[in-house]
Amino acid sequence: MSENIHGTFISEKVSKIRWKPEDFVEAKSFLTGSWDNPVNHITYWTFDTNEEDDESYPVIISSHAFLGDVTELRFISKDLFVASSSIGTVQLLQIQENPYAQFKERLSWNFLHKFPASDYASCTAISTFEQDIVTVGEDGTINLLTANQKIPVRTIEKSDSCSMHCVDFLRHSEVLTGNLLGHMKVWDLRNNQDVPSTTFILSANTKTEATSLAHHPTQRHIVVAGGGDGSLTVWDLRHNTYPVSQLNAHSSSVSEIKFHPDRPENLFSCSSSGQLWHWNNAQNTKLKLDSGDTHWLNTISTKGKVNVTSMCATLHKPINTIDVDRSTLLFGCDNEAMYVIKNIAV
Amino acid sequence: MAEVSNAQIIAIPDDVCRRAGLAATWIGQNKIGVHAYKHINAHSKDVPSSLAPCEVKVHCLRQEVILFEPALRKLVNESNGVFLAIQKIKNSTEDLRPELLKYSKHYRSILRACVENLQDVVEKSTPDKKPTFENYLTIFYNVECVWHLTEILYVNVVPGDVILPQLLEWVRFHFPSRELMASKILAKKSLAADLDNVQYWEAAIGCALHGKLDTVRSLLAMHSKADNPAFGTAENAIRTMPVYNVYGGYSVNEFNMRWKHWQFDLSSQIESKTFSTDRNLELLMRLIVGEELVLWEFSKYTEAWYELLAARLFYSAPCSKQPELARHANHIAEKWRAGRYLDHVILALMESDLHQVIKEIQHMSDNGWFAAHLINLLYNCGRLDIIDKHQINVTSQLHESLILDYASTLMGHHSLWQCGASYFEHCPAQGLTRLQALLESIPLGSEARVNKIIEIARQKHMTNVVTSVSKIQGMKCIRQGRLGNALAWALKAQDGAFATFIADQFLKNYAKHGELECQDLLENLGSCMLISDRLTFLGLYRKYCEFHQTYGLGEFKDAAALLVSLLVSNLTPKYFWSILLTDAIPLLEAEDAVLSSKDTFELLQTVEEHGNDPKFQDKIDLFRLAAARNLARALNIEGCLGDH
Amino acid sequence: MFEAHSINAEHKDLIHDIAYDFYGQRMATCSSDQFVKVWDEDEHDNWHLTASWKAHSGSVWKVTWAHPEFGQVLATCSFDRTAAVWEEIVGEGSGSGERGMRHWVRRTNLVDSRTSVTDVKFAPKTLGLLLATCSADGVIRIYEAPDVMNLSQWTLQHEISCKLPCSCLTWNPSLSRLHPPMLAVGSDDSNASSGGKVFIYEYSENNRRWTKTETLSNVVDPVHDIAFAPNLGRSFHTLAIATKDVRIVTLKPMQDAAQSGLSRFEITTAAQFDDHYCTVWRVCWNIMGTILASSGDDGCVRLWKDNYVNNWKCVAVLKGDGTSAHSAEIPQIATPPSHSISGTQAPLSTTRNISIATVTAERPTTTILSTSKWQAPVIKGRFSKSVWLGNPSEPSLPPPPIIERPKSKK
Repeated sequence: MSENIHGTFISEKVSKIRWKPEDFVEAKSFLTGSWDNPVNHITYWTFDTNEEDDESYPVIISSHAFLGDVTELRFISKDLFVASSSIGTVQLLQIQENPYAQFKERLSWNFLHKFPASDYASCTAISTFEQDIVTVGEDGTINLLTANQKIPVRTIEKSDSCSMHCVDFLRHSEVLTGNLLGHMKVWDLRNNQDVPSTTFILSANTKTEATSLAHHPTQRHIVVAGGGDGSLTVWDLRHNTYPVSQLNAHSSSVSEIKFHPDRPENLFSCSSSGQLWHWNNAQNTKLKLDSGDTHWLNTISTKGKVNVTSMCATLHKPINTIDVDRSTLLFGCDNEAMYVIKNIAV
Repeated sequence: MAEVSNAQIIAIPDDVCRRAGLAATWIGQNKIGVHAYKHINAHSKDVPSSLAPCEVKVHCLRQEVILFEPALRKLVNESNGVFLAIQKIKNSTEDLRPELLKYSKHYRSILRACVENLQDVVEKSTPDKKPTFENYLTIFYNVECVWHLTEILYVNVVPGDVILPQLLEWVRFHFPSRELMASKILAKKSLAADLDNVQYWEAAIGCALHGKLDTVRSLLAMHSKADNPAFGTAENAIRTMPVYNVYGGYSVNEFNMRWKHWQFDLSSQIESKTFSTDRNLELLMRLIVGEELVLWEFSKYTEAWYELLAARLFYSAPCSKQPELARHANHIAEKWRAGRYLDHVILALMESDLHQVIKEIQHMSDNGWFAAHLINLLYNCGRLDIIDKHQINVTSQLHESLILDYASTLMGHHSLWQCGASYFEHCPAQGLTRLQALLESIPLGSEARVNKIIEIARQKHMTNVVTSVSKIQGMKCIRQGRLGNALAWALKAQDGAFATFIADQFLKNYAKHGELECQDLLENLGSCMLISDRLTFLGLYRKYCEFHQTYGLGEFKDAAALLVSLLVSNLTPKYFWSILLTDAIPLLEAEDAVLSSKDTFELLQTVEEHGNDPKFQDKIDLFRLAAARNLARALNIEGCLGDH
Repeated sequence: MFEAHSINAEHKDLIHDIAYDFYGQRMATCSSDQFVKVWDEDEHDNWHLTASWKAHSGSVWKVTWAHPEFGQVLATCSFDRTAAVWEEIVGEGSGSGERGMRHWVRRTNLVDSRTSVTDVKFAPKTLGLLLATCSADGVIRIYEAPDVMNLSQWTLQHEISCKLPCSCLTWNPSLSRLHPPMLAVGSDDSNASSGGKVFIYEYSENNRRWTKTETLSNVVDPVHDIAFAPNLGRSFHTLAIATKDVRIVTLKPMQDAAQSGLSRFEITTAAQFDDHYCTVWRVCWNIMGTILASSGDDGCVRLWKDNYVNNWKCVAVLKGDGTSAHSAEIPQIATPPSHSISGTQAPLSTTRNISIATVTAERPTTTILSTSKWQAPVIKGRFSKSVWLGNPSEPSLPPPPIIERPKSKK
């Protein structure tokens, strides 16, 4: 299995890694964001083939200085992406190839997240829905932005008394946020009152933070959240806010969860304990057309139908980020390296 | 203590410092702040110093760490992985040598990649940076060279202990220039290679010195006089030279007999002037037959004494075992007058003086990377036995101190601290306490970073670090006016005392402003509130407020019950009694009796105990009156109920 | 081998003391000019002056930071016979987004001493918020803030008379519960006949008193500074003393003395250096307690490091050099804009890069710079730009176990 894994040391800890989306063809370039340096970088990579052994390996197209840690990177179109930083700034950047590869700043929301007394606050997560961008930060504020206007569409200040760590668009008018104590809140953006429509708890008996959120690519009401204790919790938010299953998964904090965009029966999760797991529901693929309402995630624990495989030997440093396109998975790690796994079985 | 000092002297270009003198204060573990300082004591007069007014400066000095260079950070990170892998295999009982050899090779391949990467960097760098990178290149090239030899002599298990084949391989690997020369000549396929290439003989002899006899023969075959019988005889002699192979089926003695025999034949051929047609050919054959004089004549074709050493062993003592190496090495090194830094290290290696080797490699200017990783490998091989001058075995102390130094250096870096932290647990004596001190002193930054620090502390079961970091984080939140988040940190750290303090702030703010902050948080505390009595009180009081605000009769009753339970709970902080008691008045005066006689008695009792709060003095009569009325009302109702 | 950064400290007279906070990111300086200044370091190693105030009406001797668990707190002591505790206040809603001036408020003024207060030190945080001062009339005072969040309330808990004028004090930072709280005090009394000049005090939980448990009788010359090394996993305490020479003394608790209530120590001089050839004024340990810096009347700072067999050696000497041709100032290298919210560089940056000349070593060091001619190595069996992950022969881990948590009920 290890032969499929290719590592590249890049002299910066990787906080985010994202495929640049392509229409109808395999993605071939990607971005990495780094953290924990005085000046960090967003780097644009592609693959180059070595003539000798016909292996392809990542090469840098261009690299751009970024102030603060890169806390999230999200593409909103083929060449436009949003980057957020630990100094509370959010930028909309465009990848330009001509005359030379560079990022052009289209919009910058400077110090969008900040504390009342002079300090900047980290923008911890963003989520996008078409042109809309929602940001959350350590200051407990939710900002709703849109890609073509400088002024935030809406700001919900003090939406949470604690710092928020993850956010996801459930639908165009609804977002879900998670905070430092694992309090999950659903916000109806059509409602003008600055209160959540629903509040529920990641885990009733522990005070762990919600670290990562992902929704099912086709059934957005199915939401998976990762916890600071390594747990994965699944909700079907159509029915209620009571988790359909809750699993003690990783041995420490879940860093990121990703559904395979085209084959949602595959889920990937990584953790600060250096684990990278692939959750696959092979049996159910045949029954896919069957019943839409009992999703496989509901049955993970009870019927034990899901295969969980470890995709690589446990790394000795936290794995911070994963992204997957077709059969190639990328992940970035705190050992200042990023890895490519080819031909994953999905 | 009489050891010779080799301290470096650093001059601070500051005239005030020169005139007044200096004082220094440490910043963390490897930075130092220096300023002009003149001592005065409490008995002298408090007047401006003789230097005032002057421009006072503070100089922050930091040890330069080359490993923080991006090109070298790859080496740091990748080798960390190998180091940790080695510590994992340590516990299995089988022979570790083959495994360790694999890891040793892995380390070397990392070094190779590093050297190659540095070559790229040198090419691309600006003229002012170039010497620096060339310097790094030299350092790591040397490191690799020494590592390779150490691997051959101490990690690799050589069959029969005959050292020559590996030694030749090492020399060939590090001095490839003449072999490259030879292959260029061979590639031209000319019929008179000696005439077409000025370096023909240099290449041939260089290859002979490295024991590349096949190449030598190929070269001879391309000589313009290759048809001459002398060349034919030479080719035959070289082809038939016995080369010792442990699997060759001969014992060392048998081999020696064959070899001596062959040598005798060759020397008689030389004496009978067989090769005299070509002076170079003759010299070559005299080298091959093992003539020391010729060997030294050819030292001009070598770059280091150990190249010559390998040649000497090859032609004069092919079956030498490792213990004999020291004698040969000494002989050659002395005659060569080897005095470069690397020569000392290599000689010490060949003399099996590992203590000296470790001492020398600490001066490699690589910030301890080499010493720490190499000593760990040797330590795990069981090849290390360091005896100090008092004849005490200090191997494990030395091993630990080198790793600690290296790891501490990394802990001082903004990004490599995670890498550094993973070394400490392999230092049994001081590792964890040192890690604890260093981990605590890492600047905190964003919560994401704080969580990573805490994660390491948790893994290593350093509860007090978790508590301390969370508390500092909580204090920061309080300073920023974020009580809710401060409470979250107190809960994450399970710090009851801190939670109590924060709950107090909530209650005091309520007492002042009549409004409870962070309702969203308090509402969802659940069982977490049990961590502290004060927080429990706060949680229950918030619930009471909620009941109270939703005016329905049912909730009113619930609110009353909750208030009574709060009053009797012994959880109430002193400063909050007046508020609780004031809250009770409207309940006592409610249209419908919501407090039973028993509840009312309890209320009266608490007002006796706690009603002396000055803030409550204007209400105490009102309270007593309301209580008395309600008592009458309640007794009446209860009496009626009792009758039925 | 050193990179240097110089800051104009903006004091009008010599600096008496510098203190760095727990993380080494904040610096407090105090001077004969009666001012205290606080500096903050940004991500790019630049120091910015963020506060400056007249703290006392005499020379300020010492400045020290409290542990960050207690907030941003400083203590100072002065020739004016007082010690003071200062707290930094974050301005609320002032909208001052830039790295501007911060406000420091005097929380308390400790006026119990009748003479110059010569040293002030916070106790290790495990003991709570405790402050010790010592003064020229030979009194050690220990103050406590019973409510750690209320810095304006300090109670004088203990007053210990040590008979000789005190010049310096240090807390034993040992975190172990096995050791009672311990202080060492030095005296700069110049009369050798008055005996030992370093005293060890220990707190006894039983009778709630500080008692002198040791006098280092072999230190009879005036003592100017004293510092316990951080005790990291060692079985003994290490004390550095600045007197007529640099001394490093170890105190090893004796096993059998434990029952008697007060521990006695086996006291050993681990090192004694007269390399300064004259009086030593200051001693300071790094955070690991592995390197000691000493400042002497010869105008030099010497760095001492111990090795794995506890053998101390001088590793570097720093000295002032007014004539060096290398002192030319190099203009500051452009750094990215500071991360302040307003986006403007605070005007107070006074950082400059200077080059520090390295003078030849006393003995040629064996550092290697360029010895052998290296040559392009032939690279085999390794893919050039990337590396393989892990060890292919290593079996991949079995799938992780899944344990279902009991579903909780609301």
